[in-house]
Amino acid sequence: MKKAFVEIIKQNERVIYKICYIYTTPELSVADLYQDVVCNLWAGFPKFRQECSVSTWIYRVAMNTCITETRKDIRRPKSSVPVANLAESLLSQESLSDDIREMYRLINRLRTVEKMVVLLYLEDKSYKEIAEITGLTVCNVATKLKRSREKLKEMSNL
Amino acid sequence: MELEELKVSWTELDDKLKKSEALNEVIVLEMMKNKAQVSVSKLINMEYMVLLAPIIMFPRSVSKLINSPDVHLLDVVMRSVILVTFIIIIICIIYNIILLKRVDISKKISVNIYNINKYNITRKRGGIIITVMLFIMLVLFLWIVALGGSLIAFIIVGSFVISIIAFIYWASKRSIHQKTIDSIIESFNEIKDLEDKD
Repeated sequence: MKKAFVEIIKQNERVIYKICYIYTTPELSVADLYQDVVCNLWAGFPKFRQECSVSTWIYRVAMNTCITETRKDIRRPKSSVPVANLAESLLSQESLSDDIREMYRLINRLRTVEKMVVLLYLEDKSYKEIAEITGLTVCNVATKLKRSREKLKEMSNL
Repeated sequence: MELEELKVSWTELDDKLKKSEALNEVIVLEMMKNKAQVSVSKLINMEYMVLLAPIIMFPRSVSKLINSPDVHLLDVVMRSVILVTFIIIIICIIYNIILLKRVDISKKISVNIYNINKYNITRKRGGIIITVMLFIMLVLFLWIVALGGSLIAFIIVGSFVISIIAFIYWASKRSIHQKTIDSIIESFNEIKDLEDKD
């Protein structure tokens, strides 16, 4: 089971990283979020019954974890899992281009659900897949994307 | 910035991640190690709890053997067997705790696998010895009952005791304890596989 889990994480690590990156805050690093997401995936792995695709499940867990963690006022003490090496191994902010940082800045100003929808759109997910992951209707997804598109345009013109 | 422009930056981030090869299985590996260490601590606590019963019963058992000079020889044998069983249980548990304390996740994983396997074998051997002692106690008990009571009472009590021993044996086979040990061994083997791959 653990081997299968490691394999799944390895196959999806970039997706997890990207989701975590978008949800980082000054108080919450990518490393922290990445760790929380993997822990939650691990906890949920035995209960995962293939009712949806692995990728959908990972998106759901990753997004829910990131949203929950960013909403927490007080950070809970970290688990005893030592991740000293992890922060070093993840990409540093300095190594990212201005465009990526600008993208981060803009997406971060969106509301939680809009951010989720935009993120999945950037991942090339169809409206149907976005709806499946977020629990919204396809119509709702289209509306939210349209609204986010306008917001982003407005924000970048500022 | 349009959504399509964001997509370009998003792809750029993806490419960077592809090239960096930075993400690895550090978390999963550490998580597995951590889980195994927690399970080992749980086993140590279980052993301490099991140790309590014979330690509490031991002085009572000794005093009963010393302070009852007028009892039947069979009774003396029975009490001696109980006393010896307690001593064996205490020694076994202390040895098990020592073995478990040697398991340290920061050390080489093969050493930990060796220690946990040794613990598993010792525990099973201890179980066999205790089962033999229980069997001897059962025979003595039935003997005492047969000498002092009717045949029906002998059969009823005998069947009852045998059923209890059979149940305990069956339950211990499927116990959480054994599941925990199996899970630790499995974790250690998988950690070893992962570390070997690196």
